[in-house]
Amino acid sequence: MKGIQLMKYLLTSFTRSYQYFGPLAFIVIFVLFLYSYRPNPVMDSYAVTSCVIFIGSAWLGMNFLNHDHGRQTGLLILHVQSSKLFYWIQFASAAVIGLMLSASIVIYPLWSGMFDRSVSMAEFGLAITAHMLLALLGISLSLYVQNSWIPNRGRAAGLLLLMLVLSMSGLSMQGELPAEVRWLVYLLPPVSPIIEMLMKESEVAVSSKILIIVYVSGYIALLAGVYLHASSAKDTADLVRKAG
Amino acid sequence: MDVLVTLNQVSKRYGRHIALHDVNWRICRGECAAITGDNGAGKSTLLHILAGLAMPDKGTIIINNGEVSIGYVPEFFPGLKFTPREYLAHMGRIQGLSKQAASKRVEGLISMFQMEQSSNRLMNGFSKGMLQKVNLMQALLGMPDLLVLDEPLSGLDEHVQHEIAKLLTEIKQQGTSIVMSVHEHLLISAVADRLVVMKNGKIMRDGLTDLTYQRNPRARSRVVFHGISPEHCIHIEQMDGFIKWISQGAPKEADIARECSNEMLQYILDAGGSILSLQQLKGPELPVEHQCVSKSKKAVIG
Repeated sequence: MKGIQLMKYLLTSFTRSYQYFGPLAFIVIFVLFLYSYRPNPVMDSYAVTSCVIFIGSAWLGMNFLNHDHGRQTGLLILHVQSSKLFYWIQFASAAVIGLMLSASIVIYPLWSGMFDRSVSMAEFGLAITAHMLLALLGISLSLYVQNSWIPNRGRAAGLLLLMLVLSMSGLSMQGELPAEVRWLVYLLPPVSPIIEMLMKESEVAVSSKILIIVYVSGYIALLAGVYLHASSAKDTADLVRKAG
Repeated sequence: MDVLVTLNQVSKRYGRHIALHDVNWRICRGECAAITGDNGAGKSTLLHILAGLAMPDKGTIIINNGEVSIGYVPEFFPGLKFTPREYLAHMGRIQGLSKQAASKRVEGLISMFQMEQSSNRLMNGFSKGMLQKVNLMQALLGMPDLLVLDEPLSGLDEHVQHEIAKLLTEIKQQGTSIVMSVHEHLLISAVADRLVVMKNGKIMRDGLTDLTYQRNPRARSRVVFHGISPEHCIHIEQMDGFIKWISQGAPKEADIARECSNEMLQYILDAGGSILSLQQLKGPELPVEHQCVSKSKKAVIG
């Protein structure tokens, strides 16, 4: 009950802050531009929009996490009487926005008939899963660059941008790296395997698809879990001081 | 005395800076303690620990039966894009109040703080004084046993300072304990019972204010003793007639009401302790800072 009320407050507060405008405009304009002519190839278009939702969600996540004043965050933690619950709900609220955007982006071209052929249920399921996973991955990355973790906003934005670029380059960088450090690409947020899976949807075996989905889900769970554990262990006063 | 919160040997460090060093302190029900000291003395850290915003690195915090509700008032309150009515209703619901209970409580607070006319205006256009009122209201939503305030008069003009002081007096009269860090003499003279002076993370003085002595003019004795356990010390604190600790080291030193001294001394002896000295005190011993307060009090209040 407390959690639902907290989510309601956070979503209302974010809506009133207008800080959603930048990332939302980026996503909407990009998607409208992409589908400005028809027909479009199904899975290739979804691969592009999944990249857009990944970048947009990371940006949206950062704005969402920073939209409230640090002191108000401290008060919310005191009112809800559990820092763990607060951070869970904060992440869940951002995730709700990301998931809703993902669903809209996948449904929009179907609803407006932008594709060159009809979309099978399997393709639709794969597309929506991929978009949702990448939205959650983007939000999970933004957890680590919020004000209470990195008070310098410029540095935080630069770091997030670097993470986004490296994540999307991912597997394509493997060939460029010396053999001894090639394994490092597997530590990067797994965006490129998802994009590749969408682009080569007909060539990838079902077992490989499941493996990729499990891998990405695990990566998100790890990012969110480490963040929630570390945040709950920190002094609220310290986080408030950094967030201002 | 009904002790709400007790801090035992509490220490807190930020990097190399020691914010609190082995602090022993307690606050009783209905009491109002004003904490003063230079910047960096450890006042805010002490308040953060009391409010639950920070955990001590060392030491223990004992909360009366684990059931003390605490309201916290930060130094500055942000001008949020909510009306006070909306904001307080949200906070009430987040605390777990039902819609009806939250609404009733919010209306009560709005009436108490005389905010009827501005309760439907967005707070991002509020003055500092109005924001500070909302700040106090959010802390009082859960009807706390203990109200913790970080420099509640900071940056407010004189008129609003008097208004807030009056409200705090009302809150205290309703039985809420108050701990506040202050720089202004007004709150010390008008609201506080105890004045705590901090320096370099330690409590240098902890004594009754002169107003408290006027209200409670009991003759005091200072007893020096040793050889009793911490449990017996806690019992002594709870005996009628105990006034304050002067030192909790070895030997221990405490001020006690003269009319109760026989009972106290007997208890110390029964608990296996030894009395080293007993001295009758003439009058209130006020910290230097507080003597300045007394002189300026008439001018401020009058």
